[in-house]
Amino acid sequence: VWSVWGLALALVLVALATIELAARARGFEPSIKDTPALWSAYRERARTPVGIAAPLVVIGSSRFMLGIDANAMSTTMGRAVINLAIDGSSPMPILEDLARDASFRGTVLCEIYTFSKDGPDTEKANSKPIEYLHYFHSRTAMSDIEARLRERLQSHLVLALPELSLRQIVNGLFMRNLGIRPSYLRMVPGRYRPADYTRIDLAEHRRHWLEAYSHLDPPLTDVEVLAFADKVSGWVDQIRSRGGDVVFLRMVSSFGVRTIEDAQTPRSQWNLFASRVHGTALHYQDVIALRDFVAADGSHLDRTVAGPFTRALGETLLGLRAVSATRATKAP
Amino acid sequence: MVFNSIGFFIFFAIVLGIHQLPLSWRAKKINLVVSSSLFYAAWNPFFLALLWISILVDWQIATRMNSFRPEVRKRMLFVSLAVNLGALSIFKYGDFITQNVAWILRYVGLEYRPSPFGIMLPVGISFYTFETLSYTIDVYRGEEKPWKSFLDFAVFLTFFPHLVAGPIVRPADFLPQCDQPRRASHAQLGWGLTLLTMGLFQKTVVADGTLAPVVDRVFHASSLVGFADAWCGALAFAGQIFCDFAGYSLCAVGVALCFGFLLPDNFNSPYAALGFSDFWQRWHISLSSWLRDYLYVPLGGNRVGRVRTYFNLGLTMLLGGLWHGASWTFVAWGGLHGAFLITERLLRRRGHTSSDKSFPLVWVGTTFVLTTVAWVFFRSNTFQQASSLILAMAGVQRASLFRIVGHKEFVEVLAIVAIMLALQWHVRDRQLSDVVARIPRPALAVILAAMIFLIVTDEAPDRAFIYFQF
Repeated sequence: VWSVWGLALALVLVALATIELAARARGFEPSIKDTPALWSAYRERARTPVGIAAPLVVIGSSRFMLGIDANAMSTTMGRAVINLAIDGSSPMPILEDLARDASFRGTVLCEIYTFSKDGPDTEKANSKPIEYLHYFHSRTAMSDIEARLRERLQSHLVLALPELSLRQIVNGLFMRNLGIRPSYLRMVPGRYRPADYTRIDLAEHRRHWLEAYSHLDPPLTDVEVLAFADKVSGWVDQIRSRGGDVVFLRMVSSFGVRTIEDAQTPRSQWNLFASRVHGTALHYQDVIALRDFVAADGSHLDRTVAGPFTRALGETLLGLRAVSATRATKAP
Repeated sequence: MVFNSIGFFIFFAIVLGIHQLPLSWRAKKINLVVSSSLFYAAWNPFFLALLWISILVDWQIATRMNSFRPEVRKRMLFVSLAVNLGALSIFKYGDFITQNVAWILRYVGLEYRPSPFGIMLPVGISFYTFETLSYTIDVYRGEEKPWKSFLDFAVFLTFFPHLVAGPIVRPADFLPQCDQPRRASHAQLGWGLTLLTMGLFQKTVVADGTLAPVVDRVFHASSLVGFADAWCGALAFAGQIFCDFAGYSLCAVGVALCFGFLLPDNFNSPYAALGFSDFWQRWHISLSSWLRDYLYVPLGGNRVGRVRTYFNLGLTMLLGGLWHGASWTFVAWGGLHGAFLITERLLRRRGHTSSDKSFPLVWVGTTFVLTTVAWVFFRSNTFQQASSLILAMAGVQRASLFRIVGHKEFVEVLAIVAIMLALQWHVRDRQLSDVVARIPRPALAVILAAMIFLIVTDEAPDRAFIYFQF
């Protein structure tokens, strides 16, 4: 019995070690898989009992995931920062959920990039966060522990990368795509996704985003923007009633994407929203420390820029009365 | 906590480690009860109370039952049935019952709009309810004496390998094992780990990684599917549900064996069955034998005339379908199997008894195809979804072959199902342990290594075992 098992385990270890070393030699780095289970484990940390320092929660889309390193921001701000942004989605369902959660007493940094029929707060943009929230509210007692265990494993082992699974490799062979290359994106603990744009054809990538943004739905009218601000203000009030606050941030965009967004959501409309909404509304172009950052592909920050941006944003937030007033009395 | 999780392996290693310590047998049983309770509480601590209510009520009733007159004993059995089936009705069938009452009232002109119960289904309730009921019923019938040790009874019901999705263990099979200290021999430990590996491979790599994505796509787009799509989806689900549930059962038997306990086999090459009566002796054996012993036989079985036998068969299968879930699609699935069984009985009465021996592959093929058609109702959420797929499978809905599934996936599904059928045919009259024992050791080591490698590196998203929802 043990000779069979000994040989089997030895073969597995040799195979796994070979893949791990070969993949690292080809430039692959460990990356955590973002799942509703992992997101829920982070969401749970946003709940804090009375007497414990309340966190700053970051909600938004991929721009926040690639642009904000929660661990670095936590060091800058001296309080826990939890990144709950989700790729390709609107943060509005999460803001609403945080507002309704009596055990959440922290402050929220909420990304807003455009006012259009495409987002924020549309069925399409809300579907992914709603799926994540459904998982969060119906998960089992064990799922947070399991998610943390997987996060630890995936953050250390390259062989946990989906693209290195035998299925993907075989699929690659079928597609005659034999050269599996490391992705320019990965995810590290804290749900931060550093992007290395030196690994891809940046011009092509910019064209991709330009194409994606050229299909944005029609803009909202001023009346619709005001109605949206009123709706959101109700959630802000709920969060404020527990000692927290909300800061809305128009995130950095550059090149053609910025041109489209500025046309889509004119400055006057942002000002209208900012004047109406409860909470603080920041446009990155209004903040000296933020306005010179450039999104490498037009929409997202490169990892070399994300660090300085995170620090600058953290310091900016510390300077806001809304944030400093809710600052933790004791460090996390 | 599911078998295909890192948390489970840490839990398993700790509990097995304690079980191997030089402790008294009583201390080891306490370890099993406490750790099994933690295992169950990992889903929802509240539902642990429900499990323990069943344990305490049935223990008290069965222990005292024999000292009372027959009328009182009958009432005590009724209390046990009411407590267990009452909890099952509320938690599993509450919404289903109220929705159907509302539907009937609306049919007669009365408007009734019940609010949904919104109760979460306690995992494994259908399984442990049947296990605990079999104990009180056996004691009531005088087939079993009340067991002397409450600790043993608690081990029987809570033992984590079979707690949430079976096999449905009978007290007569399990309780005597609690009498003497049990510790797995090296051979048992090795075989237990082999079964665990095989079960996880079936679940993670075949069911979740390969078949489930195809099933999800086809059933999600049921109104758009072509002929080949529909067959591909149905065949993929036939493979998925087997690999998912038989995989779970292998894990359960393997994990139990690592502690020195023997659990009954739950599957025995069901897709190599020669007809439906053979199928139900090979598929979810612990449930079909439970339904036979506690429902079909008490109804009169086949001793009460031909028509009544068919009625008993049909009713048993309908209730068996309902056991799987609170939906009429499950009842339809059970009804279809009831109809298949009745038809097979009729055929056999008319002299077709030897045809399964003369044309075994025809019987196997027919049984498998009809079983696959019935699975469509099992997997569908609504009759509309099921009928779309059935019509597409019959080729009457759409002219196109492929609209949802790619050619590569189609070939992949066909290949997996063909391999599955061939393997089941190959081992249908043999024990799995005998088949594995004939594999040369180096080859077995390589097979195990390949399975572990694929389990570890598979990137399929996590899915709960299908039978957890029942």
